[in-house]
Formats: sequence, structure tokens, C-alpha cells
Amino acid sequence: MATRQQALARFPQSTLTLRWGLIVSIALLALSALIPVLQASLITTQGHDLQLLKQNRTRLTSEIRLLESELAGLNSLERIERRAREIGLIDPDTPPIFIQISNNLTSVTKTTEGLPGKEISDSNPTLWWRSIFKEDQH
Amino acid sequence: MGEVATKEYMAQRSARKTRRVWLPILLFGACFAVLLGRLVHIQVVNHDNYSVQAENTLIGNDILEAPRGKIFDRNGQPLVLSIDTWDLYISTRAWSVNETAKQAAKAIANETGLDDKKLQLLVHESSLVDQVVARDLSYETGLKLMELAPLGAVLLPNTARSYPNGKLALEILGFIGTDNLGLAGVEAVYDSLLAGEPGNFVYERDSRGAPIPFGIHIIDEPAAGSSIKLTIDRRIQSIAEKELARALKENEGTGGTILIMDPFNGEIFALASEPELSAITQLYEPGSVLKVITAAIGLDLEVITPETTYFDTGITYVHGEPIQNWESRSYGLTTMTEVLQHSINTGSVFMVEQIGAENFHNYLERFSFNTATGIDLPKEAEGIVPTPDDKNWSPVDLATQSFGQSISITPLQLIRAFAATINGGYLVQPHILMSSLSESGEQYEFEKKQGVKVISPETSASIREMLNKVVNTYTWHPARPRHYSSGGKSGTANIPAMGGYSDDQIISFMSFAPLENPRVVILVKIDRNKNKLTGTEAAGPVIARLIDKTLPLLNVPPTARYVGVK
Repeated sequence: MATRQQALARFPQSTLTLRWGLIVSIALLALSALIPVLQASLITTQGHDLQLLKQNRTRLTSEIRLLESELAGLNSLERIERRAREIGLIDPDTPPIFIQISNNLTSVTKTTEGLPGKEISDSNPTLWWRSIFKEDQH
Repeated sequence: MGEVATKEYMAQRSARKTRRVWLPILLFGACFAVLLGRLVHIQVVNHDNYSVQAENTLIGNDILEAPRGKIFDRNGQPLVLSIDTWDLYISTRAWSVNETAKQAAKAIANETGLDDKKLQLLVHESSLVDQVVARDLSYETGLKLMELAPLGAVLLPNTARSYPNGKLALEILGFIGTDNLGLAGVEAVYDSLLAGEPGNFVYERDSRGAPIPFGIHIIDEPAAGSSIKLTIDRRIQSIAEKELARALKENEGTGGTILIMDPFNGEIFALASEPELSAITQLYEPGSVLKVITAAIGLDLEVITPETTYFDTGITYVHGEPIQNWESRSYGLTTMTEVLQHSINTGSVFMVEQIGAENFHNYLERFSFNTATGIDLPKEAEGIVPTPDDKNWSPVDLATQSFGQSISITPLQLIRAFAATINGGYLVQPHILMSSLSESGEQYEFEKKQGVKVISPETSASIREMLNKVVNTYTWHPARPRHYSSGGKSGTANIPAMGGYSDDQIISFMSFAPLENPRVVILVKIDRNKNKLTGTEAAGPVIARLIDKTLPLLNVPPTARYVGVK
């Protein structure tokens, strides 16, 4: 016990506190010095990632443009006509048939979507059409 | 004595010692000063110059081409698109060693199809830091080259135009140069809209001149050009081009034009001509199709009516000069409608005599035959309309102008004037652009204005009826469509030659359909047809087919009374 007190007497309390403070200060200083390094490192990594993403975006945009061009090529009149001839289609010799529909076309399409399963009476087809329009009005 | 000698010797030795010290110092000092001066010269005086040289060696700087805007037809179908390509540059410094250059050249040649020896020679002889060896390499080829990474190869992005419909409407669309600037057609006229803003980028190189991976830095992003929508309908354009080719082949013509336009707003649905754009750049004497204009002027001035008659003897004299009908035919008592039906020259001379020279030329000016239409295509020509104020004017000119000779106009001027005679009397603005849309979403629509009124709606209605009678003169009239009502007028004009007219002719037919609510005006013109058929015989059937094929595409139902008629 006496030895410990002697030791404490040799190292006063204030000196001990001062040294801890010094160590903490040095540690904080070191950490604060690390911050710019960490920031720089982070920015570099993110910059690299960003550049990769930009390159990806550019590549994808280019591919989209290529695909648009290919799609347009497939949709060209020349190709459609060639394909039509290949499958044996010929130019129609009759004028196209124009049907004038006075009712809302969208609603008619919606209703007719369920037609394949329906039994349609041949005896009075007008009733079938009327039923569509009646449904429509609800 | 000895002491004195010693002192002198010591003094001399001391002096030599001092020289031995300061002379080298001076020498080295001078050398150092020279070096210092040179250093200052390099680093301070010529800093900018050397700095640029160093940058050129280690940093490449180039323009990043902006993708040009797309071009669509009126239904949103693409006519021209932009695709990404690559320009291949080779660092001449990197290829200074023969063996490495050989390997790199072979690798490039395998992917691009270029000749490796020519490639090496081109780079070897170049005085540039980077020599361009290939432009517009396909996107996929560029990616493969990037994977291979041949020494000294630098791939810079570029864009190229893609034409999904092949050669369709190329004369309207035009083309661009290697610098991506529009040089002809719509590409030239709307270059400022389509071009966009090019960007800028730099890339770093290593000591051998090879690009450093991830060393590309975009300084300014390029801004893509605006996309534009044209009034052209690609389906109608395709029909027009095919019909023109067929007409020229069947009639052995040297050139021709098919123009299809909306008579109410001047939107061009199709424009096909041979030679390219001759529909707006070449003047010609239109012949009898101009009788429609003469009749419209007479009706508008109320000096004639469709039923006004005169007696045709087959020949009339103006200032002592004989003017005859086609094949010297005579028709006796003839109405103005019949003048158009049979295309009687003496009848149109009768009309212009009722109208008078001053009135006639005032109206020709109203129809703007002496000025360009202002269509948004390059190199449009202006018409030549001789007037009584001109030096060599003769009253015979007035008579011949009434049936389309002694007056030179473009097919576009003619179709615009014709549209005015059947649309209620308004001279519309022919145009190709419908709208534009920038990348940022700014939209521009072509400002639709009502045209300048040139004749009354009543006159226009009368002309429609008269022209309908022309194509119904016979039930088998070649220009009569099978499924639609229409009206039209033919023209067969001799081509002016030195001191008169040659035997060569330009034949045409101009029509509108349907009668009740015209949706299109069409002009078919065939130059120098060797088979010598008339406008009705040669151009008439083309008109009939065009009307029958075009109107369904514009959602115009067949005329009720024509349905089932064959």
C-alpha cells in the first residue's frame, strides 16, 4: 500500500490527466487528418463507379438506338411487301370496306373481348348488337 | 634579393590561385546562366506553347458528336434514325515500332476488314499525332475492338444516319456530310433543329501513346438534336415513287414528277421526281392544265360562265398568227365547260380575250406564278411570266399563255394554284414540316394559316364541277378513278427550242378527289415521252390509280355512287 502511495506521489494526478488529454488530442488530430484521405478515397471510388455507370448508360443508349433502327427496318414497307409476297398475299382488286360506327368504339371492343365463348343466335342478330349497347349504357 | 624574389613568387602564386578559383566559377556560372536562361525561356516565356505540345502528346481532345434528331413521317413511322458508330484513330507514336504496329494492324484488319498493310502505310506517312483510319465503324465492331485493345488504337464515338425504308423519299430527306452537317433536302433545311449541340471530351495516353483505361473524361455532354415529323406519308410516298418509275418505263419518259398535296393546308403527302427535286427546281411550260387557271380567272371576273358559248372553227388568229386546236379539230358551238373537256386552245384564247391582258396578269400574280412558293426544301425556282411590260412581248404571248405556253413555272407552283381553284379560292403554303420535338420536350407545330384568297368560293365550286365533267366526258376516261369521284385536266405541251418549239413534249394530268370534299390534289408529269401519248392517255391512268390507292390510306371512304362500278 505504501509502495502504491509512493508511486502516486511520484506521478501527480494533474500530470496523468494532461497526458491522457494529449493522447486523445493526438488521436483526434490523426483521425481528422484521415478524414480528407477517406473522403478522397470515397470520392475516387464513387467517381469510378459513376464513370462505369455513365459508360453503361452510354452503351445502353447506343443499343437502344440500334434496336430502334433494327425495328424500323423490320417495319419497313419494302420488307412487309416482300414478306407478304412470300406468304402468297396479293394486292386487293377491290376497294377497302369502310364501316361507320356511330357508337363509342372503345366500349364495343371491350364488350366483344368476351365473344368467343358466347353463343350467338343466328335468327335475330340485331338483338345481339342491341345487347352490347345496352350493357354499355349501364 | 632572395627575399624579394620569394615575395614576388608568392604574389604570383596567390594571383594564379585566385584565377584558378574564379575562372571556373565564371565558366560554370556562365553555363548555369545559359541553362537558367533556357529554362526561363521554356518555362516562362514559351510556357503556353510547350504546355499545349505536352497536352497534345499526353492528352487527346476531341468533339463528341451529338446524335442528330430523328425524322418521322406524318404517322410517326421513322424515316431517318441516328445510330452510334465509332471513328478509329491510331496514335502514330505508338506505331513507331514496326513489329508492334504490324500486330496491331492485323488485329484491326481482322475486325474491320481494312487492309493491314495500307493501314500501316497510312499511319507511317502521317504527320499527325493521331491519324483517323476509319469512320463510322459499326457499334458492334467498335466494342470488339475495345475488347481487343490493339496498341495505339483510339475509338471515338460518332453517329451515323440509318434509313430503315431504304431509298424511300431520299430526295426529300437529303443527306449529311462527314462533319454531320445537313447538305441537302430536309437535313439541310432543318439542320439547326436536327443537329443538336456537340459535346467535348478528353482522353489520357500513356508514354507509348496508348489510351489509359478509364482515362476518358467528358467535359461537355452533347445535346441530341430535335426530332421532326414530316407531312409525308411513307405509304403514299412509296406508291408515288413506284407509279412514277412505272410511268416513265411504260411511256419511255426521260423524267417526271408526281406531287400529292392536301389542297386545304398545303401539306405534301408525297413528292417523287426524276431528276431529284425537279418538282421544285425545274421550270417548264405546263400546257393545257393552265386552262383551268384561265377559266377560273374568267369565272371570277364574271366575264364568262361555264355555259358561255363561242363558235369554234378549229383555228383562230391573234395578231395575224394562227392558233390551232390539238390535231386541228373543230367543235362548233362550244361551252366553256366543253373547252376544258376537249382542251380546246381557241376556247382558252376566247376566254383570255374576255379577261384582258391586264386582268389576266394581275391574276397570274395573285396565283404567285412569278414567285417561289416558299416550300421548306432547298433550291426552289421562281416562275417566269412574261408580261406586256417586257421587251419582246407580243399579244400572241397572251393567247398562248392562256393554254400554258410562253409561261414557265415549277410543278409545285402549278399544283398550288390548282389547289386554290378547287379549295374555295385560297392559295395555301406548301410545306414538308409538320412538327418538331426537342429532347427537352419543347414542341413546335407548323403554324397553319388560311391561305391568301385569290378567287371566290363560288368560282371554285364552278371549277370543281367543270373539272368533274372533264373526267366524266367518257365513262372510260383514263383519269377517272374506279372508286372515287374526282375532277381534273390534262396537259400536253411542246418543249421550247431555239426559235420555236421542238417535237418533244411534256405531258401531265392534274386532278383532285373526292369531288364533294377534296382531300388530295395530284399532279403527274412525264417528260419527253417517246411513245408520244397525250397527257390524258399517259398520265391519266396514273392519276386514276393514285387516287384509288391514296384515298383509302387517308381514311376517305369510296364515293357511294362509285361503289361496285367497274
